[in-house]
Amino acid sequence: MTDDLAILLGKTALGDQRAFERLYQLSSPKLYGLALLVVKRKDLAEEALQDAFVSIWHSAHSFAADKGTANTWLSTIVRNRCLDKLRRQPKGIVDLAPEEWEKIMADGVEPLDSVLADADAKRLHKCLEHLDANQRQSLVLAYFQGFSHSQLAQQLSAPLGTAKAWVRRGLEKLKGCLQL
Amino acid sequence: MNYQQPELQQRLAAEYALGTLQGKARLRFERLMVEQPSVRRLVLAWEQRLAPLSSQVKPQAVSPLVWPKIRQRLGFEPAVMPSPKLGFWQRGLWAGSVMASLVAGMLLWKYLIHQPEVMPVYQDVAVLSTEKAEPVWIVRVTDDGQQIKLSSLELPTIPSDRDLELWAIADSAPESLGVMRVVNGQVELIFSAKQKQRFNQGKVLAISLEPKGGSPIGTPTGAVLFTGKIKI
Repeated sequence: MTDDLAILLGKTALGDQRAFERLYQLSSPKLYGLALLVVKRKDLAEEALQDAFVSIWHSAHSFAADKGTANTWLSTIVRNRCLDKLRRQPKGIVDLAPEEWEKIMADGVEPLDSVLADADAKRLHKCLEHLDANQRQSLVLAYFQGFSHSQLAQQLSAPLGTAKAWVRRGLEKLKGCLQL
Repeated sequence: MNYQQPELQQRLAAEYALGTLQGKARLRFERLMVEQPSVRRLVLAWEQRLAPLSSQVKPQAVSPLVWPKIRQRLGFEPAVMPSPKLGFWQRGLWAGSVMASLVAGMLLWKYLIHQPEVMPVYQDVAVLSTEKAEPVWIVRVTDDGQQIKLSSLELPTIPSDRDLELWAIADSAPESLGVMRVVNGQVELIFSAKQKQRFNQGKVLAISLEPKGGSPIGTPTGAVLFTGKIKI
C-alpha cells in the first residue's frame, strides 16, 4: 500500500477504510505531537486528534479542491480542533512562565536543521528570520498557543497596541517575503 | 467596519488563520467567510502559508486506544484479529501462558469489553452540513434508539436570544426532535416514545434557528442551518 498521504486521502474520500487507517498510522504521531504542543494535556490532545480524524474521514473529498500539501491540510485541521478545545476550556488558555514555555518548545519541537529539507518549511523559516524578534515571537506564540493580542502583550510585557502592531507588521512582512 | 475593503479582509484573514482574531470579531468574520467564498479563499491561503510551522513538531507516541475510538465514532465494523495458526509446541506454550494472559486480559477487558456495557454504544447515523456542504455535526444514536448525541466539528455561532432545534423529516412536514442544549459543543437528547418514532420514520435531519425554547408553532420558523440524510 502506498505511503503517499495525498493518495491515501484520495482513497479515503472514496470510503476506503484501509487507506484511512494507513493515513492515521503514518500521520498521527506528528499530528499528536502538534496537538500536545498546543493544548498541553494528553486527554485534550487525544480528543482533538479523534475529532480531527472523524472530520478528515468526512471531508477528505474537499482536500483535492485545495492547493497545498496533505501535511498542511491535516495539520490545519488538527490545530483548529485544538484551538477549539482551548477556547472551550473554562479557564481559557493557561498562562505560562517563559521558562515553562521554553521547556515545552524544547521538548516538542525538532531542531530547525532537521526540517529544512521540507521546501515549504525552509521558505517559511527563512522569511521568519527577516522579522524582528518580537514580531517573530508574537506569530509563533499565537500559532502554537492560541494567544490573543492581550495575552501576547502580557507574555511579552508590552502595551496592547504594541503587541497588535507586532502581529500585524509580522504578518505583512511574512506575506511579502513568501511572495518573492 | 467596512468588511469589503481588500486590505482589511486580507488583514482579518491573516489574523483569523493565525488565531489572534478572537471573540465576537472572530464570529463575525466566520459569518463573512460563509457568505463570501473569496474571503474563505484568503483564509485558506493564509492557513497554507503558516502550516509549515507545524513541520517542526516532534512526533509523539499516540495511545493505542485512540484509533478504536475513531473507528467506533465513525461506525466502522469492529476490527477482526486474524487467528494465528499454532504449531503443537506453540500450543503448549500458549497453554502455559494462559494464567498470565488472564491477568493481562482482565486489564484489557476493562478497556475493550467492559466499557461498552457501561456506556451506551453509539452508531453514527448522519452528518449534518451547511448549505455549502461543510460538515458541522456528527449525529450518533444508541443501539436501542433511545438517545441521540450530536457533536460539533466547528462550534456554530448561535445568537444568545436563539436556540437550535432538531427536526426529523419523513415525507411531509418536519417534526421536532427537541431543542438543542449545546454543552461543550455537544448535545444529548433522550427521546420520548413519540420522538423515537419520528426519528425512526425520518429520512433527513435538519437543524433550524428558533426563538428561545424552540419553535412556538411546531414547525421550523427560522433559517435551516444544517441538514443531512439519515443512514441506518
